[in-house]
Amino acid sequence: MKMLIGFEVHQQLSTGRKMYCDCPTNYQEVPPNTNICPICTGMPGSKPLPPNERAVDAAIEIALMLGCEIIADRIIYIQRKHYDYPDLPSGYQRTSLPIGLNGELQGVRIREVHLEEDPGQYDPTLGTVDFNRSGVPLVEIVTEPDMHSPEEARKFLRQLVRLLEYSGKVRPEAGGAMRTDTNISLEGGGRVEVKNINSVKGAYRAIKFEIMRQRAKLERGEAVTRETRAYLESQKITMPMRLKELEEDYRYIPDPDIFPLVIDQARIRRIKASMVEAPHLREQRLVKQYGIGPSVANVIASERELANLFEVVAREVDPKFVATWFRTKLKKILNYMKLRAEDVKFVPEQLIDLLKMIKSDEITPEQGELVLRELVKRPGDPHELLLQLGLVRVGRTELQAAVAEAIRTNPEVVKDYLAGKQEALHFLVGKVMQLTNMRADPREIIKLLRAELGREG
Amino acid sequence: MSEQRQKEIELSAEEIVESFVKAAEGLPSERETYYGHEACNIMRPDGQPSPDEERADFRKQFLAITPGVDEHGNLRVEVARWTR
Amino acid sequence: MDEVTRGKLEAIRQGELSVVENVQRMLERIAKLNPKINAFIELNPDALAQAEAVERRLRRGEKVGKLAGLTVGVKSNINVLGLRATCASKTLEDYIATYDAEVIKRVRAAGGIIIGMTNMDEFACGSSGETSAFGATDNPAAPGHIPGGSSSGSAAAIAAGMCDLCLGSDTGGSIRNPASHCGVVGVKPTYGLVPRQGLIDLAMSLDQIGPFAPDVYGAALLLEVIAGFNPNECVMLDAKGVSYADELQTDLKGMRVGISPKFRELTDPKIMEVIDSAIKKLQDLGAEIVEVELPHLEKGLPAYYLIMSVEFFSATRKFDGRKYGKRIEDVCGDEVLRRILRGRHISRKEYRGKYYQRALQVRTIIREELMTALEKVDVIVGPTVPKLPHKMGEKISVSAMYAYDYLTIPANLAGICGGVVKAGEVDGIPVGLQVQGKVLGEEEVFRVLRSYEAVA
Repeated sequence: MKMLIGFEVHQQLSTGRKMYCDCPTNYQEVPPNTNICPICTGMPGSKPLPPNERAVDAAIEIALMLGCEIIADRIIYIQRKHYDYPDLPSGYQRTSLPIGLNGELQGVRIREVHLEEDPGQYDPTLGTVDFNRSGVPLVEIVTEPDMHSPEEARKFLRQLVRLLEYSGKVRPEAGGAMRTDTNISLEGGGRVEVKNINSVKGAYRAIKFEIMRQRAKLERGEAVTRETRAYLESQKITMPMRLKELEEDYRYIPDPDIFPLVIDQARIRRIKASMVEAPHLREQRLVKQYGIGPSVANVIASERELANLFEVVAREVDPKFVATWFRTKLKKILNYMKLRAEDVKFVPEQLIDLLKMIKSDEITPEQGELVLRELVKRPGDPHELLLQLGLVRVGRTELQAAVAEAIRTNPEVVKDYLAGKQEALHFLVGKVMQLTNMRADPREIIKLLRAELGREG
Repeated sequence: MSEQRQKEIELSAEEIVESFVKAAEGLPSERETYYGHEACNIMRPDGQPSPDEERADFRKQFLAITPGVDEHGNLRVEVARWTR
Repeated sequence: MDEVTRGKLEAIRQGELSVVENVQRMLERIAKLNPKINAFIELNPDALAQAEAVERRLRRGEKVGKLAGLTVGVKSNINVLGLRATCASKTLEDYIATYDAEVIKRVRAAGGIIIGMTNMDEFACGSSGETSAFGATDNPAAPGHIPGGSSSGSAAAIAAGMCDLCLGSDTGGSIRNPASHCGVVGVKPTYGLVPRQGLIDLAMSLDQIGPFAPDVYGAALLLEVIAGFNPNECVMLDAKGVSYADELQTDLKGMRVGISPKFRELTDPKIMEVIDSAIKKLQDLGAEIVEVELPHLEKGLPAYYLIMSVEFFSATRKFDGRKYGKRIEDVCGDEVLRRILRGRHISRKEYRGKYYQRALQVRTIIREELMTALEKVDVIVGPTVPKLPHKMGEKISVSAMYAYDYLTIPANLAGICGGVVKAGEVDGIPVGLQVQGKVLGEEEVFRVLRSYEAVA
């Protein structure tokens, strides 16, 4: 069954002050109704301060990263979108006309990008409101309904999250989790909008639920009517929102208390000059520039700092070798330690030295991995880490002694090997590694074992 | 409010709308004037937030005039109908 | 009433009148007259304490501001921390202001003493002072007649000598109209000259706070205290360090004063008689009288009532009863509800182009007409209100009520300034001369007002 899925994604921008007042934006860290003033609580007579320029620039930058045309040299009104809801202190939300139009991200068309302000936080079940969040700047990204399965939709959202994180202009995921309104329609049914989705996972589940629900209706021969529903996170289902709780007509007017924006070419040039490369574009470039495979490029480009590190290291060491190490070792260690590349404390030179040592066979890849793990934990010169870990390779005599010891103490295994069981050899290699404190090259051990056992045999 | 009163007021509200339509007949189409005077790109730089004490004072005033507050300082309003 | 403000300031500075005494006398006068006039709806319990503080500074020879010791009444749609800002509505009858409006901060810094909150038409929706939830205000200059509105209490308080100066607000004439009916001086400043931070909205693109005074000097002084750029506001003119009071002249030599035949068309002939003789006096003072064309002036009125209603609808959405006060539609009076319903109706998606945006186009026409006229002349003079105030309690139709605003609305639509000084009387009822000036043309307006005042 053919289906169309589109998103309206809201993401908080990273600023020190709110959009139209000087209250701080760290709303999760303080008791309810602490970051508030007459402006962001809609006190009678309060007027907005002039818009926060950093938020405006951030929205322009994100629009550029999404490949949008920027609405330049034209009047962009900040409009009042009227609706009655407990989290809206003034009965309207300020939302700009589009800042960018007609972008594209991984095959999904971006219809528009504009600025908004966050409402307060309403707990619909308890019936309580906290205005700490009210007035935090938001960017809204509206897509065309270009996705055709829950998986595709999830993939797009992940790409978008990566792009927004890359921009460095949004509040970190921990705080301002992405909020999306999702519209889903199946062939032969009306368009259903689902609100109240707060994560990529939530979006995926809501879409799956909706498809199931709509498909069942259509199969029963019932109509799927155009409506707005709310996603209930706790039950992983969607519920119709009552008509009364939706305003069919927002009665947009330019906010008479805020002069419009006009984005001129100089501003666009300035933002472009310091803008970060969008991750999907960077991924493509990494493939081309360094001759690495698309899947490894995808891993490296997943985080901006990881890609930055890669590009510095790849200048000094064979890029393909570096890429393999990033994907198979570094990323694994970071994931295991629940770290992001931006949290890494070692300097690129230390990683360069280490990879050079491995590449030149100065140390074994196994030793290299141990040093790398240590480097992430306690940054330092890799040579010294090698010493501290007692990983300097054992001498030939010592190694031969260890091989002899392993053979002597495991006669049954030796017998198995001689009977043709290859796993027995691996067991003996492990023993030798243990005896040498991992300071030997397994390939050399195998050589020695073969020579030794062959002689005996 | 009585329905009668609302009806009457709605009706009387429209008189001036009708006379506007008449008054505007034949007037040329112009651009719209939304503001008392015109300017654009009046913005303020991001920066340090307002001092905590200032907001603490306001918080007290705010909580004092709200119709209802819970023990954490949340404003009490209605429970949403769609939550059942 | 010529120069009473200057006289009082002098007496305070010289120590002939103490600040505390001044406040006490005013409070006594309010106690005596307010039961009948109903100009004040709340008094500032700290007024005497504030007077003592200013007094101490004066006696110690410390620097005091331009308003040192003067009592200032404040229209009830301006936030004064700790006092109720009710907008004379049940909606906000219990709302105690949580902050000072920017103009109040400036008045305080200049040594002015807030004496109380004045009555007004509910949410400034009215031109008679009768729509207040706290009862109508009487006209001290013509008892039994409406004082005009919406800043009814502020104008009446000045006319009755209940305080030295008052703040009002003007969206379509709400300062100039009651100033005219009460025979006092009132000025609507250029849009964007005076900060609106803390003024409860009627229509954001038209509202301006301005002064009332018994004399031109007082109005000039209060305006220069409250005027000027406020960085904490987006829609403001970049005007700094304005000064009017010290520059007041009493001759009009070289001034080009515009008049329009349109005014006569729209105005009661008895009022025009008074205005004509005032214009004659201006000519005698050296002004050159020039006729200007304002062909569409009267079309401003319906356009205004559409634009204002849409903005007012938007502004009142915050009065949902959840954070403070009561839900506006549940408790407001007829005229407030009428404007909300009208605004709600004509801002609907399908009507916006036909009504709201069309009205904004007419606004452009009116604005350009006035701007063109003001290129030829320094000021435009004429009547303030086209008809005399009706008797209190007399029922008049909605359109008859709106018709009071024909001559004051255009200045708001164009964003220019305008001031009113008493021109004379008709049957014992004051009639005000309206002087409209260019954008930031307050100095010229004050010059005409003061010159006329000096010879009237």
